[in-house]
Amino acid sequence: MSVQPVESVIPERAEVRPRFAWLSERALMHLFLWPTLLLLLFITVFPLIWSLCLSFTEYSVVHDSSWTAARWVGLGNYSRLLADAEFWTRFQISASFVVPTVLVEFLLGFGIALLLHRLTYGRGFLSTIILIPMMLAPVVVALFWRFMLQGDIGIVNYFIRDVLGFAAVPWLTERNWAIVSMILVDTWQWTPFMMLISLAGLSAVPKYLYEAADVDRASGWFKFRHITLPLVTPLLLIGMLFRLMDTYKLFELAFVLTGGGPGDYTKVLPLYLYRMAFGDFNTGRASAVGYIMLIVIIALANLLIRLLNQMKAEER
Amino acid sequence: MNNPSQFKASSVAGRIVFWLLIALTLFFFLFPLYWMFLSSIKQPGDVTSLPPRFIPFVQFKPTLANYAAVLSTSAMGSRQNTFPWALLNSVLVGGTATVVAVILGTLTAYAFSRFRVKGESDLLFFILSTRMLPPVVVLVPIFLMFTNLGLPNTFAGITLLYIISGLPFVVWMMKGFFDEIPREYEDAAMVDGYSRLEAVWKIVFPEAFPAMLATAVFVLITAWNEFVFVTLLNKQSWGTVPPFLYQIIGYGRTEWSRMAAAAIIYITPIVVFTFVVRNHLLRGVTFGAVRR
Amino acid sequence: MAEIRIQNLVKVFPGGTRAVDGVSIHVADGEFLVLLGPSGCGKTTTLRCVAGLERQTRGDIHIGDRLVNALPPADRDIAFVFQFYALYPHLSVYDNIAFPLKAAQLPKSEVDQRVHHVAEMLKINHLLNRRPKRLSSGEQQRVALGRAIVRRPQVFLLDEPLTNMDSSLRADMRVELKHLQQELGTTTLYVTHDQTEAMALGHKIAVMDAGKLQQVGAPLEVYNHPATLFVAGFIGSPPMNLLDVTLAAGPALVDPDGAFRLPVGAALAEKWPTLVPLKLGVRSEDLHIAADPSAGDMPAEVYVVEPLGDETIYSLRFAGSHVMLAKAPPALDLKVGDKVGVSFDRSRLHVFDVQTGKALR
Repeated sequence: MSVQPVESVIPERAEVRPRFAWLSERALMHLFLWPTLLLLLFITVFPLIWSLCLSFTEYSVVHDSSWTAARWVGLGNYSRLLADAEFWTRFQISASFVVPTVLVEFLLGFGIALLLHRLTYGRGFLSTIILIPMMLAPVVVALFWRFMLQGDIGIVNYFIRDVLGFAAVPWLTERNWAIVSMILVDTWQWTPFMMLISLAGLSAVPKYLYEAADVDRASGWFKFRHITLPLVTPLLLIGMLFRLMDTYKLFELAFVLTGGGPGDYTKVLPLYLYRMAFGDFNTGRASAVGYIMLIVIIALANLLIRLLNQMKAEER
Repeated sequence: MNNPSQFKASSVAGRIVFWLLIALTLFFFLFPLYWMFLSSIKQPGDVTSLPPRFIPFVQFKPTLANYAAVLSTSAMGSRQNTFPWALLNSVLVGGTATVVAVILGTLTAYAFSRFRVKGESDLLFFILSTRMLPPVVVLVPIFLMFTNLGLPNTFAGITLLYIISGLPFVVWMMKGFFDEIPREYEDAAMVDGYSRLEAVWKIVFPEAFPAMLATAVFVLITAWNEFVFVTLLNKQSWGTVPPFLYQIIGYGRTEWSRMAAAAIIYITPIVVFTFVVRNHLLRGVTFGAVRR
Repeated sequence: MAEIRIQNLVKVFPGGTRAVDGVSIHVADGEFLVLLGPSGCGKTTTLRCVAGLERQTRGDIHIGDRLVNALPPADRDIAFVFQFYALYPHLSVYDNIAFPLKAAQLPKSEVDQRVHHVAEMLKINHLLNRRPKRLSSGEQQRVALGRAIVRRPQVFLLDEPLTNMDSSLRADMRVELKHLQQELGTTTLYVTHDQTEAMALGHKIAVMDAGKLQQVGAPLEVYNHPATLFVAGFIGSPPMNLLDVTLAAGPALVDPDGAFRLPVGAALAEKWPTLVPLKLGVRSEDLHIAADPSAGDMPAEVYVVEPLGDETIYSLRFAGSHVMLAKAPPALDLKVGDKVGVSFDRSRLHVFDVQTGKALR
């Protein structure tokens, strides 16, 4: 071990002159924040307030008509809506789509993740490929499934009728099947999302927990129930909440795949709102519908945020 | 990987079931894509023929005519109403919106990450909440706003809309990213005499650039795929590809083979991008909230 | 009779890494043997092979008088304590400890009795209803130990159990562990990279480096008579001083600069190779500092002073810019720059062949 004198090692102190030093930290902070915040306010808070006001009016927008023609009705729109059987039917229709979809996506997504988790090689590649449906434009997906689900010439019915021997399914033309079609298409597109989240959760479980269980002679079921499930559940719940919110506000699928049909049977809430606003031009009432939808979403979102925060807290 | 399984001879039946399930899964998710691709290279007559033709060259003669027809600029009267035009619009709108949203959003994210902002968690929650907003709820007021401002049916209006809807995502993603870069980097630079702006430009920005690219891809994909606003606000001829595709099937006889060709062209960049950002997919689809 | 016999253990990972390269160790019944070495030396891999968590590439492992090569961990009658405790997160402490017994399908009364007995022993009975999340690291480690003890296995295998604990707790846990093992008398194989821990805990220490066994022996044996250069440098704090020397005419050991010259007995020198690089080792506590240098001492200058409270470590600069560390009682209050004389006990010197790494006697 040899030693050199210290002075010969440190070079001459270099001088740096800062630029933009006149911009104080505070000025910079405001400069960075305000453009974004203003734009967001413009597109969210402002329209929401306007929408809220509209929901208290009876008013009909026909292209370019001045909005001073609105007539104040207070909570009239809301009370009439909540008393309207049609409105509750819409809620029910939405629910009959949202609930099964989220459940199926959860079960399927988690199941596929469990399968893929066992792979050592190719897991990344396979999971990326399976994720493609999730990234596609919902319009494209809906259009193409519309093609495939056609009663007589659709490829799906070909498999069912000519390969498997069952009767052809009236996917888009019969009421209950129409809802099933929507569930099917959304599942096809979004199960990969649940799979992605489930895989992330499964990968995060430390291996040594399973090893400890092996040393203790635990059964496969025990390992799943007491190690895997408890540790993956938070992420699964978050995934399901995301899907719940997204299917609830889904518009493209109903619009493009079924058009709300047959009849009104798949007219879910977003479509209902749209028709009311741009079909019947009942702007005031449509705004009220929108707000009721919003309240439901806010409730769900609160749950989500709380779960996310809890997960972050546990991470530390 | 699972060491205990080294001692259990996994049963042959078990392995068969396992691979069968994987094959079924792949089939379920990939067959529609394959079918769509096939339809795009079939002649119109072959598309709906029964029994269906699955293998090109063997069961039917593939053709590129659909692609040619879709990409030509001479269909359906006005030049505006063609696929290439819509595609161009998609690219321009998507590109512009992405660039602006990423730049603005990244700056904001940096501010949230490094500066003490008053009411930070509330502001962030507000920004996150915009993701949960059903588009239809704000459809009417935005329509009215845009009409009064003279914005619908224009490039500017939709681009502005896409910029604004991309911002929350960029802010959340990039903030999460900045939080992971130790602020000691900038502190060291500032101790050496640089101003904060210079420190950001010289040191933080190069670090952040890959994350910004990944974020940009997600914003682009979202703008690329968007349907509701651009269809419902722009009732006239200007539009991106999603409303165009929707309109094709409305015009008289539906040319599924042409639609398939257009769709394939439209989704190919997305498929490529998916692979490009595959490591960030989890973060991207959960809005930066969930990280591996 | 629960001895562990590891014979010629080899483990090669896919990708070519030779983690364990021909290791043979015998742990006698009731013995506490510590596998010591830096990270990556193969000690954990060896332990996991004994446990059955890794399948060895070659070699035999006997636990008791059974050859366990083909047995899964559950059938080897072992208990394993993990570095990160590995407690089942959603089971209470009671259920965590009881679990191995339930798997063995013991009657509930017996399970209950054993769990409480173990909880008493480890002083965690007040925690039986809690979830692991709400326990401190020390408490978690005790629960992990409890889970290991409750089955009364033939052998305990512990993988760096104290590494993740707060350092203030570590010393206490160390004492408890040693006491526990003495009381239970179970054969124990313990892995650590902390040489203080190894010295304090083990009946025997097996030092490993790069997949190979360097030396096996009682702690003081390994400390006072290191068999290889690696062991000499790894054990002891501060590390042993090592000087580059060669055997020259005299016979004497000289350093390359010629500033240092240590005559050696001809009888010894005959056995040593000439013209090859050697290392001379002397521990810091074996260097005696005299404030007034007397004849025969080597002159040195104090370079850095580290007062540790119970002793002071001096970095001493010798001729030819060699620096060695020496320990001295705090009373010898020296300052930087002081000139001192250093002497040492010839019998406390070690000489190593650099190329083979082995100690020369």
